[in-house]
Amino acid sequence: MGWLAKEKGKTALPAAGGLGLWAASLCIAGLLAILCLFGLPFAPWKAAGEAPCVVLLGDSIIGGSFDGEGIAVYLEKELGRPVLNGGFGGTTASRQADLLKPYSVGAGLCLVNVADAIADGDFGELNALVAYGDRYLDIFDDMLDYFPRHLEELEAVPFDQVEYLVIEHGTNDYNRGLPLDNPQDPYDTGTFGGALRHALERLKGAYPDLEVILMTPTWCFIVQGEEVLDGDSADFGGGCLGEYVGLEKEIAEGYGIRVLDNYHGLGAWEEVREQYLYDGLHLNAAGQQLVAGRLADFLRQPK
Amino acid sequence: MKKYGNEARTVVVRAAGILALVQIVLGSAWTVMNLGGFQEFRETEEILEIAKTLVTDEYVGILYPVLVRFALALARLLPLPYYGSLSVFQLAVCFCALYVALKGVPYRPLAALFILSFPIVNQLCLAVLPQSLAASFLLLGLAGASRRHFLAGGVCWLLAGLFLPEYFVLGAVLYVGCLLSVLWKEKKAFRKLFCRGVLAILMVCLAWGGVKAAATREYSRGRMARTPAAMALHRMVWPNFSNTQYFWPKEVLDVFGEEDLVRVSRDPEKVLTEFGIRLEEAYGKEAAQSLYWDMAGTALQVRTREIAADIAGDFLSYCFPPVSLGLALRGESVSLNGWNYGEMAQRTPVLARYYVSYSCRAFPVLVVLLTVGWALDLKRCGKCGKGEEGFGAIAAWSAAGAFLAAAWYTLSRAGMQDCRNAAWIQMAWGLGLAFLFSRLARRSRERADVAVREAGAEASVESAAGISRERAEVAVGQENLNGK
Repeated sequence: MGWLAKEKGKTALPAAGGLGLWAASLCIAGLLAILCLFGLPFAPWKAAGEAPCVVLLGDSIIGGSFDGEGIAVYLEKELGRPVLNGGFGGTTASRQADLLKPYSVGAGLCLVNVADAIADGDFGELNALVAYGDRYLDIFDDMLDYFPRHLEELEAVPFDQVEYLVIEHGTNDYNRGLPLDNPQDPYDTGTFGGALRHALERLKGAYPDLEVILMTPTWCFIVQGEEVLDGDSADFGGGCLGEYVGLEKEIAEGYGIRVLDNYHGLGAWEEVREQYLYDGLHLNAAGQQLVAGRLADFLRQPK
Repeated sequence: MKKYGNEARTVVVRAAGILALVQIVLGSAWTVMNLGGFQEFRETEEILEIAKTLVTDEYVGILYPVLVRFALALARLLPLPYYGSLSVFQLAVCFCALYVALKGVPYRPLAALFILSFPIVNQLCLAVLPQSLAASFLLLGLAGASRRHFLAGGVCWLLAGLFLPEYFVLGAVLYVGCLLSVLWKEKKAFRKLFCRGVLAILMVCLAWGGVKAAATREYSRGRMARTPAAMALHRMVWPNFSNTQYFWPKEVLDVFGEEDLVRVSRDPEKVLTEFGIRLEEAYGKEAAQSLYWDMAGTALQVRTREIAADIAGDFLSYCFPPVSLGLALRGESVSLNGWNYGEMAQRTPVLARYYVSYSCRAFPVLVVLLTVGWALDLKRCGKCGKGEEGFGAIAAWSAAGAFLAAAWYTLSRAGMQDCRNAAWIQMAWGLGLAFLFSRLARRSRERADVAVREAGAEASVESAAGISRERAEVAVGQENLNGK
């Protein structure tokens, strides 16, 4: 019992001190470990107290703006509820493996990767990619100035509180001649059909209560000399745009989800094409308002 | 104060140990769940191609494709994919290298596992890439040199260089530096060790030269020659090939139109595969070097701030790889680490997310915790123990190597900051943390032993005093009795 010595009236208790030190070590380590594991929450939407009612994913039809406004802005005015624009111009639904490089921003922001990020709640890979592209914004042709903002906002969305997720893709898959589908592998993400199926299954699996809606591309045209090629006649390798729309509707029916057909449902644009398209592909203000109004009416319909 | 200082140090050591254990658990779980998976890297495809022909260029070492070829042959005999057997081999070599280097450190196997569990190191061990083996053998080479096993160390240095060519240069600096520091302290066996060291260096250089001559062909992979001028061109000029074109020499503009320069500006790899190749084809390798220096110098004059900022950013990112990775995943740094993370998270997204987040945050916490703990007790830490001294030298040389590696990768390419190049740097950090932990743990143990001895000595004094008092009382009592 020599260790239980008295030192000028004080009692030293190394055994209790040992336990005390372990307790202190565990407490400090535990607190630090929790901070290291979970960090601090970052959720401006949560801080704002209101999640968006509608989240739009897509290419430049969604992501782009005309005169400072776009489909998301017009839709928000129509619905009177918050709408988030999560579109990235120039992107495709399919995952183009041959173009994918660690610095390929456009290829990296395909629907497959964005859907994976939303389903996993992990935007790390996309954040790194967009940050890289942002550094070389004035040089890279597949990077646009609004990408960082859209990605940041998308990451902060609490998808379990969102009502509608609208996906609009197909135009870039079409005009780049990407494969329509793979009969041997319906989940081949290198095809338009496989990419859609993959995205739908990931999103529905992660957020079963979220209503996912597909919105088809609009009709488009290209003037080559005296010839006008359009989505019904021009085939860039994967089929005509109408075939992509048909497949999209077929997939939607298979998954029991609603699809808004803007390709066929907006009237005969061959006659009025320049009224709604400013470059044959992208919607002008009138076109965006038309599509936004149509989407708002569609969302108001009973499920 | 001394007592509380020791308690604080003990708490620091134990807390650091617990934090390290958490990383080991997460890292081990990730390793087990991803061992059978394949990570897609473009460099892996190239290695598989080289494995068929066994002819490479100055950018890729020949030994790894040879190993892959062997693994592919083994895969035909065993029910195990080639990348599975490679991963197991790489993990084993890495662990052994760390275990050997960590001689003298308490909890040696756990310390080795801790360093192995850093995501950058762990991922590379499971990838069909040469970085893991190159760093492991370089560490063995350094350990060999510091412990006077010059020949074995030299062989390991050679192997590291054959896995990754730049590691031969890095290894040369570290091996020779370590050798000189060993000879500096040696008085008795100086001559013998000096001869052994010189012989080892000569043998390694001859072997390296021989293998390089046999297996390396310039331009065989469609890339420009790897020269200092080419590195300067890439670092200083990319991505401004197009928007600085008015300053370029006429010879360059005769070969490249504006569209060509724009294309090269949008892809950092095209500097090697398109720009350099075409210029060297047009004017020859020697003349092209002069043009590269010219362009690099011009770009530096025209875009000094931009280039300086990029170089500083890349260098800092390489110096602190986990912090850089964490910032990249938040979109706050410029690097190619998104792809690496995507491959890590492919099969186990949730585990990878928490594992990487934890490690990226725990790294600076551990650095601060152990550094503060060591600094507070700096004067009393005293000299290293015998085993610790050897490990301390390895940790110090590793740190020097980390600085050199960070400088090398920063200055050799622009726009390609990639934590896969930071394997050695991450290991060096791990060795440094293990060194601090070892010193603090030893100091805590010493103070605890001293406290126990002091408490025991005082008890003996009191006990002796008590016995003396009793004897005195007995003696007094006896006297009284006698007096009566």
